Amino acid sequence: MARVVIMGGGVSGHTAATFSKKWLGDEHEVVVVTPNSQWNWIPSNIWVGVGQMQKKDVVFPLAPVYEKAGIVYKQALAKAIHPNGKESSDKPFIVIESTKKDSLGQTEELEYDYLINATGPKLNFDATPGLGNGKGQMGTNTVSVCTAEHAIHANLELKQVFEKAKKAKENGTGEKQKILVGTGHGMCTCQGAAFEYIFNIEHEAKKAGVRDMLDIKWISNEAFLGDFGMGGLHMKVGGYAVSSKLFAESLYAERNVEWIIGAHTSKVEDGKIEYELLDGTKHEETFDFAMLIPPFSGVGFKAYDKDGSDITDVLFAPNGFMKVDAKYDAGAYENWKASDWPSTYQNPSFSNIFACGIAFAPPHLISKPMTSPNGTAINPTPPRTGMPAGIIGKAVAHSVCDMIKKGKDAHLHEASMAEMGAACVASAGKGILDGSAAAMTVYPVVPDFEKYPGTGRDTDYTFGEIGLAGHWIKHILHHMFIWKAKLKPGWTFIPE
Amino acid sequence: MIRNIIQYPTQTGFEFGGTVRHFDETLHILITDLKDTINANALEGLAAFQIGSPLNVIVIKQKDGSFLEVMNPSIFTKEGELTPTESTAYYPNLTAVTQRAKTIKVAYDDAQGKQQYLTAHDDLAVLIQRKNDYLLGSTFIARLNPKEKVIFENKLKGLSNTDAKATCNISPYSDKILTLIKYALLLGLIGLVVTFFSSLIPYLKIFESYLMLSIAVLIGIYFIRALYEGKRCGVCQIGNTTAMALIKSMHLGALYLLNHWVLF
Repeated sequence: MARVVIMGGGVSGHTAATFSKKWLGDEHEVVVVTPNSQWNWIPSNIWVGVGQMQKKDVVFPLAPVYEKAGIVYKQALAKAIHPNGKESSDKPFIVIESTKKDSLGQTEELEYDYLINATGPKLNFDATPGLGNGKGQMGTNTVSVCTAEHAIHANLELKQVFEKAKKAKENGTGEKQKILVGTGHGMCTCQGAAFEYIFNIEHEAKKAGVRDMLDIKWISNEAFLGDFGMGGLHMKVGGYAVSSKLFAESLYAERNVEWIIGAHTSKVEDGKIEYELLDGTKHEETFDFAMLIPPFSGVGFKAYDKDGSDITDVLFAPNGFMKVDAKYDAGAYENWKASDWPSTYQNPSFSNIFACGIAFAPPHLISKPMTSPNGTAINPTPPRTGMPAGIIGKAVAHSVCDMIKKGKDAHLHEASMAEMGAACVASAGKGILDGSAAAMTVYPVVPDFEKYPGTGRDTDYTFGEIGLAGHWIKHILHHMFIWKAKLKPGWTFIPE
Repeated sequence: MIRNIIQYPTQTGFEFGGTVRHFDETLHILITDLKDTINANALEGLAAFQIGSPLNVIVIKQKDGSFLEVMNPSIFTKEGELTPTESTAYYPNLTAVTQRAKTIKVAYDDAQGKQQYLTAHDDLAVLIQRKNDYLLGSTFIARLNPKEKVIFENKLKGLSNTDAKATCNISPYSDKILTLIKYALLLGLIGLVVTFFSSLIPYLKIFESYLMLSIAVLIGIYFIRALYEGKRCGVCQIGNTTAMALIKSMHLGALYLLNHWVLF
C-alpha cells in the first residue's frame, strides 16, 4: 500500500486529494494535511465582504467529506520536509504540527510515498509596513477578503463607512467617505479579487443610496488597467476585438471609479497609504476604508537532508514556492518562452514530490516586468488560482496515481499554463435582476509568442462580456463548485 | 521605406497590441519605416498598426524635428481633461471632438529596450493618447461621448460636418413607443387575470379588444417613426425596424390567440 500525502486542502489540494482517492481506491492511502478545519470557496468571499453572503454559505467542514471519501484527514500545519528520510530510516516524511484544539502544537512525523504540495500562499501582509501586524497577520489599518473571516471583518467595517456616508447625507454636510481598494504591494497577484470587491462595493453603495457620498478609488501594481497579471488580453466583444485595457477603462469610467496604476504601496498607516509610481515619484492617498490585497509568498517550509542539513534551496525557490519542471534560468524578458512553464509539476530533485496551485514556483512573470527608476519592481506576479489550480491539481493526482499503479516510470500527465485556457467570471455586483459580472476566457493563460506571433494568444478562443447573465453564471458556479467539493453525486462531471 | 497608411474601413482585427520583446534590426527597420512615412505624409506621428504592424510601437515627430520612439507604452497617470478636435490619418479629412487627459505619465521602452518615463502635456499628451488607441485595437472613436459618436458615425457615412450634426438632432420617440407597446402587451396579459371574476368579463372583452387595436396602431406608428429617425440620422435601419415590428406583431398575435381561447 502506497501513501499519498497532500499538503493543503484548497482548490488545488482538495482536487488532487479527492481524485487521488477516487482513482486509487482503498488499496492505497490518501492523507490530507491542512491547518484549516473548513473548506472555503474563496471566489465568493467578496460577497461575504459586502454582506451579500454569510460565512456558512462559502465554507463547509472538511472532516465529514474526507471521512465519506475514505481520505485520512490531519488538521495540522506542515512544517518541514525530509525527502530522504532520517538517519534511522530511508522513508521520506514530513513534520506536521496539530492545529486542533485538543492537540494544539503537537508534532508528528508523517511518512509518505508521494507528496503533493498544494499549500497555497502565505498572505505576506508584513511585506508592506503597516499592512501587517508585524507577526505575519493582517494589521488594523486595512481589511482583506482573502479568507472568509477577513471578509466578515471587511463587511463590518464597510457597513460603518456606509453608515457614516448616510449620516453625512442626512445632515447635509457633504462629507464624502473615501474607499480605496486594490493591491498592497508592488509584487501582488490576485488583482481579480480586488477588482470584484471594488465593483461589489460600488453596487452595494448604489443599493444603499450612498453612492454619491463615496469616493471610490482603485490602486494597483498593474502597468495598465486590465493587465490582471496576464499581460492583459484581447477579447471578442460583440464581434470586435477589444483590449482588456479598454474594456476595463470603460467599466471604471462608467461606474465612476478613479484609478491609480503602476503603484507600489510602500507603507500603510491609519487612514493613509504611501505609494511609489512607475516613474519613481512618491505619493500619498488617504482613505476611510481600504481593502488591499497582500503579496503572496511560499508558506516558509524547511527541507532537511538525512543528516539534518538544510536543503530548503534544493526544493524551494527563494520566494518560498516549490521548484518544479520549469525553466528557472530563462533570463531577460525577450528570452521568455511558453516552454519555460512547467507541465508535470514534478520536483526536479525528487521524483515523488509534486507541487500544484499557487504552491509551485513560476519560472517568471507573465506580464512585462516593470521597475521604477529607484529599482522598485512594480508588476503583477502570475495568477495560479481558480481554474488553472484545479486543472493542475487533477493532472498531478493523475500522474501520482499512474506512478503508483504502473510504476515509477509511468508517463506523467501534463497541464502547462502555456497550453491551457482559462475562464474567469468576475462579479461586478450581486443581484438576481440587477447584478453583473464580467465573463472572460483566455487561451493560453501564458502567452505563446512562437505559436501565436504578436499577441501570444489564440484570439479565436478569447471573449469577454459583462452583464446580468455573467452574474447568474457566477452564482451558479458558486453552488456547482461547492457541490463538487462536497463530493455530492455527479461531482466528477463538474469541470475544474 | 515609405509605407502605405491603413485607412478606414480596414479594421484592426486581432492583430494589435503585440508587446515588443526583441529590440533588434527588425524593430529598427520598422521604426525607420514609420519615420519615413511620417515625413512623406507630413504627419505628427504614427502607430505601427497604421502601417500594418501589430507591435506596440509609436513614433512621434516633435516640434524640433526629432523623433520620439515609444515602444510598449503604458499610460499610468492621467490628470486634467481636454476636449480637443482631433484628426488622424486613419480617417482622412474627418475630425471629432474627443475626451482626453491634459497631462499623462507614460512608462515605455526606448529603441534599445531600456525603460523610460515621460510626462506629456496638452498636444503631445493628446497625440500619444490617440496613437495609443491604435495599440489597443481601437481608434479615437473609443474616446467620444455618445453624442459625438453618433455625429462621427454619420460623418463616416459620407455626411458633411454640418449635416452630421444637424440631421440627428431629433428625439428617439421610436424607443419610447416600443416601451409603450411592451407595457401594453403586459397589461393585456395581466388583464386576463380578471377572468377569475366572471361579472367583469363583459368589460374585460371590451378592454382587451380596444387594447389590442391600440397596440396594432402603435406598432404601425413605431414602424413609420423608426424609419423616419433612421433616415434623418443617415442610418439604414429598415431591417432592424421591420424585424422589431414583426416581433411585436407576433406578440400581439399571441395575445389575440390567448384572448380568443380564454375570453371569446
